[in-house]
Formats: sequence, structure tokens, C-alpha cells
Amino acid sequence: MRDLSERDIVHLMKGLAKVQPSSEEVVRARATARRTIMRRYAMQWRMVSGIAAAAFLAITVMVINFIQQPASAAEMLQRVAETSQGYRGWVHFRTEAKGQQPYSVTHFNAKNGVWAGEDHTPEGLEAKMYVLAEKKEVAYSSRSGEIRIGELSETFASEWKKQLDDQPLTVSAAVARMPGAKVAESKEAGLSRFDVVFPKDDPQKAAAEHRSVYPETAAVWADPETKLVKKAELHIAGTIVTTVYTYGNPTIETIYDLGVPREAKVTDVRPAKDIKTILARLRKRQDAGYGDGVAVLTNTDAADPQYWSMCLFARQGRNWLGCRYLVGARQYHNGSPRAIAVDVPAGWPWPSLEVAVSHLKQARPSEYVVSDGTHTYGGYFNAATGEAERTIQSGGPKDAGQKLVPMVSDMRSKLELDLPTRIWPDLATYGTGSKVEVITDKNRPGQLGLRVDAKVYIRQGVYAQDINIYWLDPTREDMPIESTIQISSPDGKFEFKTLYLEHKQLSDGRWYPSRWRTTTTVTADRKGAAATVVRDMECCLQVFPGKVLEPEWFTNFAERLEPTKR
Amino acid sequence: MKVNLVLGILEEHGTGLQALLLRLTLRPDVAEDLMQELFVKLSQSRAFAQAIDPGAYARRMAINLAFDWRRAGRRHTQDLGVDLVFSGRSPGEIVAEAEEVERILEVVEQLGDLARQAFTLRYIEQEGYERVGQILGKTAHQARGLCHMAVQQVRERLAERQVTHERP
Repeated sequence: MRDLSERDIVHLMKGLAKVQPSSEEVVRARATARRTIMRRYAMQWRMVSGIAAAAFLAITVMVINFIQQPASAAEMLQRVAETSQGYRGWVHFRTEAKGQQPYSVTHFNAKNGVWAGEDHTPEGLEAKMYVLAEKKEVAYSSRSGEIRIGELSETFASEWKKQLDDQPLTVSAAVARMPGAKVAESKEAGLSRFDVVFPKDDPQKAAAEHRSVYPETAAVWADPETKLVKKAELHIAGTIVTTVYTYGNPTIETIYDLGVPREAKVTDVRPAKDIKTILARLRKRQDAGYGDGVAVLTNTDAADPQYWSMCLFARQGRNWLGCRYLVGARQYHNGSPRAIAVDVPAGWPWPSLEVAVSHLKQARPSEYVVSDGTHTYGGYFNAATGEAERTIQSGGPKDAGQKLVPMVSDMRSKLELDLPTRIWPDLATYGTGSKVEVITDKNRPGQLGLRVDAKVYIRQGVYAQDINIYWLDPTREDMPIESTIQISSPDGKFEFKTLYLEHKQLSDGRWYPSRWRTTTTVTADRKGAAATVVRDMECCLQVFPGKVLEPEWFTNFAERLEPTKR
Repeated sequence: MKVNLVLGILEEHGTGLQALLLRLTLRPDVAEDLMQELFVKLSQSRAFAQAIDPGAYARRMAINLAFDWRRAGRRHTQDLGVDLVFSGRSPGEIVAEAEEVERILEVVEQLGDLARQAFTLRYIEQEGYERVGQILGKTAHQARGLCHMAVQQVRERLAERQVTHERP
């Protein structure tokens, strides 16, 4: 083999830099990752509370292991740590921060994979239990007085089990990174007491090393006979957190063992096997979409031209865009300008692709998200002034706006600028917060009915109750036939009822909904008086597979388009 | 919401992260697996949620994951799995160069954290010094020094290995 100079190395790495995964690999990996993320967060409460509890246990045991000096106290504490880690029966620990009322109790048994947590707050009890072998989650809230049984995803169950099993690995990894802790042993009330002083930690360094900030000091009490940890006290950022451990009984068999009342109502929301198959099928359709091409959607409010708009969707390899344009009226009824609106294009509501594209090329969309394959730009144009507002850029080398990345994806879904998810509903549900069931209607022979009941977080302490009903045609690639989305929250009631009136087929046989009508009914409480608004919107969709837009479409709209001349 | 942050990173950087994992592992199947592992870890990471530059954080984590995988000895050096891009070369030269790339990566995995990340970002990801500095929390000037030092270390260690291998 030849000797490599620095120039050779740089040259070889340049070649390596050109290696790219195939588009098929990218699509597959992204789809899997997206599903993994969503499933994880469907169980966010569990993860947060559970990880916090597990992390506390880990840091407690970590304290015990951060001993570098060959002192006898350190050796003794090490033995305590090993004994506690090796314990495979029930472990119970109660954690509370001094001066704070809420406390939590965690129970787990690494041997049988059962984990349970209790959060005691002034509002009452929130209890959660995972039975990993059955992939089952059981949750209780004293606020609702209800026990809900949900399903754990395969990924979550295996990761949770790993967390329970891998404590010693976590500890040994921590030991290697934590030099300089000092320990002293003493006796206290028949227990061995170990006081640990940590070297000063830097929060930024901790973040860079992907770990929590070390506590300043810690004390650990252990049974001198069994060597099991009995109590730990950590001083972290001015707060004293105390954990008391017990072992063995009581065993936690059911959620009632956590103090949940026997008379609580029980609701099982686990999806049946047939529903899981359906959900996977819909997800697959979403992921596949219609591939590369362009689509034009027009929205016509028969009663009110101030709500006319049209959307353009496109995907070309790594480039994609979704944008909405105001159409028709140049002014809202309240007098506000609608200056960025474009004239109604010829052929409305079915303009040809050529007409639509040339019509919109220099127009300012009211909202847009566009990606050139490296950078993604999202933003709004002020309807009155035509000025770009809230432009978000992400990706790329000059990326000062990375922290705005979540807004881009959030915006795309919120603004419904992603075509496949407008056609096939996203119903992935895990945990105990929502329930999907198949429904039937004798007046809808052959149709697939799905009902989703979901509790949706609105803001701190405020939840909406969603009832979504979808009717699909399984003989035509699950084309939507009708949907009703009802949202009830303290802010009001919203209903979106959509009737799909026509469907068309592409030349390769794939179906898409070509015309539908959405009736929106909003009943909001305005200063004590309920006001109801009803709107009818007719939507016409044309899909042009394989069609392409010129490259400049896939650039930052805020830079490409001049502001409206006033 | 953190879910939006993680999904946003997947949306905007997913392809780049997968390409990075592929370049460092030279195995498409492993790159795909590590992608999943990466996003699971990002979902779990509190530091990621608080990071000023989450994209940079994700890249650092991807680099660490890929080299952890390499260090675990799970790679197959004989089966590179991907077609490296060396245009205008004979098949023999391509194989030889692919082996050299593998040798370089083996040495890079032995560098210190900072040097390894600097090398990867500059020479494999072809980032400018300014961006390398941003990702590593350094100035562009410091990043330049780090990258230079890293490539020097790689060359020296390759030379040491060459001597060791050729010693009878």
C-alpha cells in the first residue's frame, strides 16, 4: 500500500463525500424514522415521567460508582452499587424535592419487565403502568376517575425493557467519564453513609457530552448487611432531591396496587388486529403519495369570494413545494386589503396546469413551504402589503435559523400543504389518549368506516375532545368518501364535514379525489354569546404525475419575489 | 413541542444525516439502522431539545454513532457495500482507493472526539471552516486549526500503520 500524503487524504475524502444513499433508501429510512418518532411521542407522558425516574435511579447508582481513589470507603460503596444493580426483584423508590409538595413513586422489576409510576400532585393521583410482556399500558387519572388500557408499540416496549436491563451498562459508561469524585464513609442510624463530593460541572460541557449536569454533592445510605441502597440525597442546582428505596414486597400486579380505586371505570382503547392492518395500509399510501409531479387545488366558496384560494403542490426528486394563493377579491368585507390575491385564472375551478403555473409564477403566496433539496424555506406574504413575513430557513451551511426548523414541518402540516395527508387520514394511535374503531353503516355497503376519539392537547390544562369519522372506499385505494371532524374545546365547537363528490384515475390507474365540498361550522363563545358561522368550500384537485416546474420554483420565495407595488 | 423539533430535523436534515452515516459506515443497511437509532436517541435527549443549533447537535450525534459502530468492530472491511465515486479510474484503482478510504476511516475513528468531528465535517462532509466552527462551538480560525491538526494526525497514524504492516 502506498504512503498517503495530506493531499491524497483530502482527495480520497472528496470522493467519499459524493457517496449518497439511493432515493429508495432515503424514503425507506425517513418513513421508518418518522413512524418511530411519532410512536414515541404518542407516549410522551410515559417517556418523560419514566425516563426521569429511571434517570434518577441511574444517577443515584452513578454516584456510587464515581469513585476513583482506591480508598476502602470507595470500595465499599462500589460493592453496594453492584449489589443494588444486581438485584432482580421489585425495586420501589419514592422521590421528592425538599419544599415541594408533589412526589413520585416508581416501582419496577427488571426480571419480569413491569414498570409502574405514581405522580402525587395537589390535583390528585396520576398513575401509569407498563406490562412489557403484554405490550400493555394502563393509565389512571383521578381527574377523570377512569382507567384506560392502551397498547405499547414494539419499539417502545423493547427500549423500555432495555432501560431496565441496562442500568449496569449505564453506570459503567458513566464511571469512565467521571473522574475526581471524592467519597467518605461513616455510620448513621445503623446504616453505612457515603458522602460524595463531585468536581464542579459545566452545563455546556454536560450538554456537549449528551448527559445531565452532575450534582454538586450526594449522600447515599446503604444497609451494611445486604449492601442495598436505602436512601440517596442529591444536591442539584440548589435543590435537595431525596429518594428512599425499598425492595421486595409489595409486588405490583395491577394498577389497583398503586392506590387506584377499584370502582374506577375501565376503558380498553387498544386497536384490534384488523385496525392495525388498516392503519399500516393508510400510512403506506401516505408515504408513497403520488410521487414526482405537480398538483393544483382550487378552493371556491360559492357564497363568498373573499375566501377563494388555490394551492400548488410539486415534488421533483429532492425538491418539493406546497403553497397557497389568494384568488379573486382584493379586499375582505371588513375593508382589509387582499392585495396579493391573483385574478381568477381562466378555466376556474379547473385551470389547466400551464395556465395555473404561469398565473402563479410571479404571485406571492399567502403561505408557502419549499425545499431545494438542501434548504427548506417557509413563510407568509402579508396579504395587504405583499411583504414577506416570518421567513424561515433551515438546512445548508449558512444556517443561523436552525432553531426555527420545527416551525417548517409544523407549518406544512398545519397549513395542509402536504397533499397525501389531506387525502389519507393520519390515524396512528398508541397509548391511552385515543381510540380507533371500525364502524359500519348499512347505508354504506362496501365502505370502510373509521372512528377516532382523541383527547388533544391545546394548551396548559386545556384539552380538546376530537371525534373524527372517516368513510373510505377500499376498492379504490382507500379513496375518501366522507369525513367528519368534530372538535370540542373550551374555546368553542368546530365541525368540518367533507363530502367527496368525484374521483378520477391517473393514466396508470391510481385514484385521487378530484372534487369535494367541506362545510365548516364554528360555534364559538364570544363574550358570553354563542356565535355560529357556516361556510361551504368546494375544492377541485388535479394531479399531473411526471410534470415538472422550472428550477426557480424551488428557491426561497421571499428572495425570488419582489414586494407588491403599492 | 419536542416532537416537532425531532420531526423538523428529520424533514430538513434526514437525507444529509443518512448520507453522513453511509459515508462513515460504507454500509447502506447499517446507515439505515443507525438513522433509526439516531432519531430514537434524539427523541430521548434533553440536551438536544435545549440545543441552540439542533441540526448541528444531530450531526455530532450521528458522527459519534457511526464511529461507535465502527469501534464495535461490526464493519466488514471486505464488503464496502457502496460504490465510491472515483470517476475515470480503472476497476483495480477503484478497489485500491476504496481500501484506502477504509484505512483512513479506521484511523479517524481513533482520533479524539473533537479532531474526529472536525475531520468528518471538513473533509467528509466538505463543510467550510465557519460552519465546522459553528457546529463544534469554535471560531472559524480555531476550526481551521483543528481540521489541519486532524488531517496531520491521520497522515501520521497512517504512516505508523504502514510501517507496522510492512515490518517483517
